[in-house]
Amino acid sequence: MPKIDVSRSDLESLLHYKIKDSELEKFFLCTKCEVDGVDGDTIKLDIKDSNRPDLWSIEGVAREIKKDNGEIKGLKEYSFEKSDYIVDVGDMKNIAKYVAAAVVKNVDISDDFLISLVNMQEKIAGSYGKKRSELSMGMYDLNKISGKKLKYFLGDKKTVKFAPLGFEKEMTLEEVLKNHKKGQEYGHLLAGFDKYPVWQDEKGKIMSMPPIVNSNDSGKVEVGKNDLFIEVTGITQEKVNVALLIVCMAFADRGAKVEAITVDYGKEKVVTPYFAKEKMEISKQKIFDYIGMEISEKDLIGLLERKGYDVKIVKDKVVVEYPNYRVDIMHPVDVIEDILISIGYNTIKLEKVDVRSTGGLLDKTVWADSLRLLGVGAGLQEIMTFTLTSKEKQFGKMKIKNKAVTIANPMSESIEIFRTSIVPEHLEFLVKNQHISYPQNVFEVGKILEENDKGILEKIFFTATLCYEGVDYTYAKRLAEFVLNNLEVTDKKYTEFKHNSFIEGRVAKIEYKLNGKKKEGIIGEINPEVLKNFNLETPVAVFELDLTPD
Amino acid sequence: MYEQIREKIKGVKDSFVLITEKAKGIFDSSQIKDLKFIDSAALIDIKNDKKTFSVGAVDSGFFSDSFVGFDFCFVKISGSVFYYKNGKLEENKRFPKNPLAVFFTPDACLQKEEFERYVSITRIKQELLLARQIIETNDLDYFLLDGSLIPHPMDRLKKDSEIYKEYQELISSYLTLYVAAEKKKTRLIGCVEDSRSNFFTKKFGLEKFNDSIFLNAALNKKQGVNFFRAGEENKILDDLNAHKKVDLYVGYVKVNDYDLPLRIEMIDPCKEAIEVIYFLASHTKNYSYPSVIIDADLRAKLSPNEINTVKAYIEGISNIQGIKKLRRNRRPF
Repeated sequence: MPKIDVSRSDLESLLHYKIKDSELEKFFLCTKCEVDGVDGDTIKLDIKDSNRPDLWSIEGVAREIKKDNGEIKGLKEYSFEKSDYIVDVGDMKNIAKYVAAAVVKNVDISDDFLISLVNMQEKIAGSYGKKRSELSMGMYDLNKISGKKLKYFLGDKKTVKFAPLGFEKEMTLEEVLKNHKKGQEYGHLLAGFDKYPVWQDEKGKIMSMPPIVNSNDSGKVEVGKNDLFIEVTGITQEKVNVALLIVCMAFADRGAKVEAITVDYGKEKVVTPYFAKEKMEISKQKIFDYIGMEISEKDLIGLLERKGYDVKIVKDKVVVEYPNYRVDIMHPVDVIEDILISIGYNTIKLEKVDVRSTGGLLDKTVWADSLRLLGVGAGLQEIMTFTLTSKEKQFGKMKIKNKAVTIANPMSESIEIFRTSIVPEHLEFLVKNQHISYPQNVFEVGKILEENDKGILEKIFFTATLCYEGVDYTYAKRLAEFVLNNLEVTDKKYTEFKHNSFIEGRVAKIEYKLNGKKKEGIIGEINPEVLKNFNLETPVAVFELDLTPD
Repeated sequence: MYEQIREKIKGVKDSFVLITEKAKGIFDSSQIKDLKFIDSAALIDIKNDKKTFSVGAVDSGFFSDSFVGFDFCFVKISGSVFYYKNGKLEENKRFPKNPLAVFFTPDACLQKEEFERYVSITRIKQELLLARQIIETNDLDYFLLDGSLIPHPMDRLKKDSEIYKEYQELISSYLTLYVAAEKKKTRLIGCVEDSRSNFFTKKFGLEKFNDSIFLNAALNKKQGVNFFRAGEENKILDDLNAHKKVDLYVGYVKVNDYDLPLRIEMIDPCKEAIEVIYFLASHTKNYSYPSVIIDADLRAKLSPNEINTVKAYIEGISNIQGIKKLRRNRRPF
């Protein structure tokens, strides 16, 4: 979870009142923060939410407190005048191709505010931007930027030069990666590219090299009265806009004038930052069911307004509007959580749970556990691999084409589908354990999802993967027989067939009846090309049996 | 509680002093002289000859458990043979090459105590079977058993026991082994790891202690008590004698300063056996047990992995067949 340090005196000046020592511990509960410690004027806050970047600054915390105590009622809107600055975005290929930028004028930057700005920038790029891999942010002294037409493009790493922060001498982009501390830290994000992203002003002076470092000239922000240029570059327009919006709100809350900038992608133009309202309808009953009590409409509206929502009650529905920077709100339950925070978790009375039942395992779980014991009894070592995986691992490396249940909003390519086979996951396990002695004979009893004409089926597979010099089909078959015979399957039949993942002539389909229901499995020696795709050097034989209890 | 434990242990230590005094000169006492030692000498000073001989041994590892409706044990047996020439190990053989655990389950539904006896008898029967096979297929001077050369009194079952036939088979196994050893001129030696015998201490009014502790005070390193005939009144011997005349002889050997004398048994005794055991057990300063048995023991020992593998299999199959674990093994708390 993110942790931030805030200046107590700075916070008190933003809130316009003093915080009592006796209230300090509970003071930040409405902001989902816990006080980790106090060191002089510094309050160390542990934010118990990794999805609320708007809270990762002193300004965000102050805003949330103001909402809670009624100083800000409902949804506070932010609007930004459009400036005449324009960003011309070049062909960025696939490197941080989305941009959001703004101009901030009349900023009075104090020591505290400067620390807060740097921390907020680091926190947003580090946590929300996943260590700058998804977005990075730069702030510049506007007065040192020439012209109003700025360029963001890919510059040649060997010829484009500038002096990075902390250096007087100009370096090529390639040299910056090699010699600058930030280049060494984040250089891997640009590995494999010949051209690197750069910002340039109208006179052709390089302002920065995202996501690595600013220039030592315009990229240096200092204490005092300032006009600033802020830019965010990243992998989606929504993400860069939210990051910019959060920073701009912080400036606006401190009385600065924020102006929007036009980002010109050639085919389309976007004005950033843009503040928008999102809408969600939730049934009142659903709210009552979740919070465990019924409350009046008036109270409900009050509770939601204290969390920054605009609220309307339409018959049995509660219609809420919330700002687009609340990226954590994805489902009604997120709004209900806010209602509970507003009520105060600490005020909920303890109640005995009236349950008259005993716990137990599902028959399916008992069955799977029994299969696991059987696997151990066969002398195999049990492992558990992840059910969410990538298409590349399940199909690409295995040299097959197949359908899989796909995740609508995957966080990364490595967890985009639910596995259809456990074998590829075992091969990856073996790759990671090549330093361990052989034989490595492992098994897993786990779920897979299969999509067919009838819909999606969840199945329990028993997969054994045997890896050592000299492993063969015969040994895999012997173990498969051990499992099947112990389960007393009937009508067992082996058929030779072709499968790209296996060596031709060393693979068979096994058909059998488990409790009278037709099932099938596969057994064979893994194709050396597949092993090569996984970077495995030791031969592998596997069997995978469908042992779903119907 | 800790005070009580400390006092008990202190008392044991104090009594060692008393035993040491009583043990002085016992080999000249009438109580000892009355015993019939083979060739009359009671105390033996062991010579450090570089011996040439062959010796074998067996040992076993086991695990037992109970499920609803059935009890089981699995037993792993291993045997070793060492060939010495002029005091140097020339060759060793192991039987079988890869010892495997064998599953046993009683036919009848047994009481807990009877099942414990079943496990003990089954294990020893398997040891005796492998011992006989090794003796019959090799020309050995000596063969060592881990424990007594006759059944343990605890394993002597009453005639109405559900598993009385197991005891009968055990008697038969011992007798068959004696015959096989006699035929191959291999001398059997039983090595009792932690003997509780109190034959000597009874004679000297120290019944609270066992002979090993008493003789530890009486013997110096490299000394032994010559073989003498064990007690006349022994029901186990009676059971054996009902089929074949068997006499059991007992001796002791003190191998080093830091371990108690080791009780050894023979049915065909010879003084050299004491020297052989001394030779085989004198490899470390503070542990006296024949190396050939240790070798067999190490290979017979069931590893936690072996136990878990078989247990997991039994549990898995029992689950699949709907057989539950005992209530005590599936407590939900």
